[in-house]
Amino acid sequence: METMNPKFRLHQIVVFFLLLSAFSAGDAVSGDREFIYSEITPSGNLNPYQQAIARASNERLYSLIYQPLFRYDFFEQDFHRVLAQEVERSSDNKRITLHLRRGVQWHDGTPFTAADVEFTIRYIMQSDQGIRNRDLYNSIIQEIRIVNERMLLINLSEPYQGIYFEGFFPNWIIPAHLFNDDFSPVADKDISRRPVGTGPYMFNQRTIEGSVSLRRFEDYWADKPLIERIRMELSSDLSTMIMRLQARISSLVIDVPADRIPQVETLHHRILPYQSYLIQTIGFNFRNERLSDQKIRQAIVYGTDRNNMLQQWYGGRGELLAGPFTSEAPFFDVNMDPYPHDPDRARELIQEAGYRLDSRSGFFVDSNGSRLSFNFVVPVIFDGGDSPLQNIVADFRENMRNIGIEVIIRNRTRDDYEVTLFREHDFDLIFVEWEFSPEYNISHLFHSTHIRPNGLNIGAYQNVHVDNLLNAFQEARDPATKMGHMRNVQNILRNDVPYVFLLSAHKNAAIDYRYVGVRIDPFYFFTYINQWQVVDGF
Amino acid sequence: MKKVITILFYNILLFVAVLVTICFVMVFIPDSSKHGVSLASRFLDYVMILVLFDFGYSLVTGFPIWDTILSAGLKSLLLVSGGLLLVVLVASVTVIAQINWPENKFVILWAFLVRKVSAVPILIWATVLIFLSFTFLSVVPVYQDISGFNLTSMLAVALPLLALASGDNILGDTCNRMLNRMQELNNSLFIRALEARGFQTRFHILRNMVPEVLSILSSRISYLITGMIVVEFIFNWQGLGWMIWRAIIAEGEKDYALVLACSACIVLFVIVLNITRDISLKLSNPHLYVN
Repeated sequence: METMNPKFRLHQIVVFFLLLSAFSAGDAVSGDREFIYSEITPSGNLNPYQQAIARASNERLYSLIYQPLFRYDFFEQDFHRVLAQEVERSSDNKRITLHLRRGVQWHDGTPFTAADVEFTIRYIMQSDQGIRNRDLYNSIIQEIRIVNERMLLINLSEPYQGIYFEGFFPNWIIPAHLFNDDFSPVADKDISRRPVGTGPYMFNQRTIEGSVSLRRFEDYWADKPLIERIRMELSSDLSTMIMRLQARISSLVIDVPADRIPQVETLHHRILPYQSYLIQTIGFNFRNERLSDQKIRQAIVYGTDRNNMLQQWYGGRGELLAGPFTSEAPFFDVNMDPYPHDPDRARELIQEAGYRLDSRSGFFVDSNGSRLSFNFVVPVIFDGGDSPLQNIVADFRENMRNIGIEVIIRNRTRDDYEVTLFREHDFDLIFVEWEFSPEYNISHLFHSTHIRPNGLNIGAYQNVHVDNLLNAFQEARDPATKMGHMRNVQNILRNDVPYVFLLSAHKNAAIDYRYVGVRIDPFYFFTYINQWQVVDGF
Repeated sequence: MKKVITILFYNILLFVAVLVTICFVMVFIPDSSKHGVSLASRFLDYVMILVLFDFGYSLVTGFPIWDTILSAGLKSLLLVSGGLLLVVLVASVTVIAQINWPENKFVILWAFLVRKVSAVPILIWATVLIFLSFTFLSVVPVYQDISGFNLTSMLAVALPLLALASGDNILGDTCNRMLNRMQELNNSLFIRALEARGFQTRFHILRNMVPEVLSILSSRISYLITGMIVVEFIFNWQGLGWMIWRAIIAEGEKDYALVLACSACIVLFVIVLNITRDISLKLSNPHLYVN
């Protein structure tokens, strides 16, 4: 009987796999000039003002389709005019005259006019969703009047108190003509599924599977981007996203966790770090008598090894915080230093606060023998990719164990966590991530008027000096005066320690080498896409 | 006829009871947007969705719920029925080979492998298969790449079915039960009598195997549905399981109507399968229903 030579059989197997590889390679490379990126969260309703919660993934999509009146430039740290041509304010800041840009068209060919801006503001005012500026508009807008197609007049009952005047205006302008003056929040409107904007890309197609295709808007009023088509596809998890990037099916992953960077940073892809205005903190609840003692709070800060967290879980890609401001935020005080990690000093402070070390348990106890113990509420993240949150929480508990404080971790689903954070305040310590807008307004976090249900002063922190300084900051017009007030606020906060200000981790985008000149907007990501270049044949 | 109507009536009752139970369970899902709303009020809201049949638009996909369900349901149906078919095919081939060539080394090895391989959980299989495909072929076989006849499309269909059919001991258990039943039949008096008279016994064995296969499949369907959710997630098949998961985890914007609609589809599928099993059993072996 004739038998097959084992060597020949091996060759056959190798040839088979090579053929398969060649066969598949043709599929793997994405189409010419189509830029594919992945998201984990489904986009759902595509009306920017019909979202119960702001989804970062949708904001990225909106930044390609819609446009604002003004846009903050993170590199120049100032607002630029987009759909607005000029804006005039009366001396008492109660009357705004807005002149709009000429030659702007909606994706369906209809000209952009003042009626669209007027409708957008009214739509926000009548929305039942917690949209940014909705309450502000309802409280201070007295009248909106269309003067002509390019001019709009807004009368306010009181001046807008925001840090930047441009922050008053809506994020995205929506087309009035497609709503027919209907403000009702219905999801079956065509625009909820087929958005029409004035941005550089127009909606092309979407599937139930969650992918959204866009194509370049050829009548775009500004510089047209080089990328002709963009597709946002939905992935179930981070691993799939990274595999598809490596197989060059997709070209971009928005944020790669630090521990996965070596896996992605290869021949075909580079990592682009970008600043986030997101700070990680542990909030103290001042309603707890023990935590109202400044020495205990300072001890907790001294006992927390933040540098180790940054190095170990983020590969050093980020910065330690001395207060609520990141180093690139406006009004950041460069003279502020983060608290050092000093467990001995932490133990001293606890003893000064009247606690003694129980040698048997290793924890501090009060005069009644009750252990110095705190509940630490932590959100459980289901779809956050490889979040190092649980590692940071475990490190913090270990740090506290080391200085004699017991920390009991209470995991909460995101929804329970929101209720605990904003309404019930049933925590001693709570892990909180705050993400700031370009205005970087910290007064909501520390002003005593925000101690209320749904208020952002979650720990009930109160300091009259801070309140006065924040009020003076809002009223001041001169940047130097503003800076002076904010410097004082930062100094007081450093002593008062309303939070353990942990760190601000940089985000890391992974992008195919074919795309060069890539500038990234920390919030909307694609703001500068018209400057991106495509290198063919890479 | 009366019996069929009774079976249908009880199954409809079961269907409604399961859906009301799901409404009751959904009341306890943590939801920050429902803070302060009483449990009874939430329960009534969900029941009213069913009563009024007002499902509206999905918050997850942005499409009408029934469009979403149709799309997701077809994917799930394809996965489960494909998985079942693969299990039956592989198990039948294995059992027939074991009966006919019990001493053949290749058959022994194959039967051994089938049983051992199927002992691995579906989750592990799905993960291993997707990584192998990526490592050796540079293909990430997920649902959105199914287009046309090419390797990626083939893998995107075949690997999920393979993972579903070969995990959680479904295949091994089916093989064992089919083998036992076939051996029982081969040793039964009426088959031996037929053989002694020189008749072909293949048809009789096949007919008597049908109730057993149906019984195995209906008992394994719940395992397959559980496995289906895992496979859908890993291979990004946005079927009913995936939809339920997405609808529940969305913070502050949970899509209860979608959860109800998906659950209704899954329950309906199981009930229809059970009814089919009962009717098939009756047709294949009428004396089972004498009493």
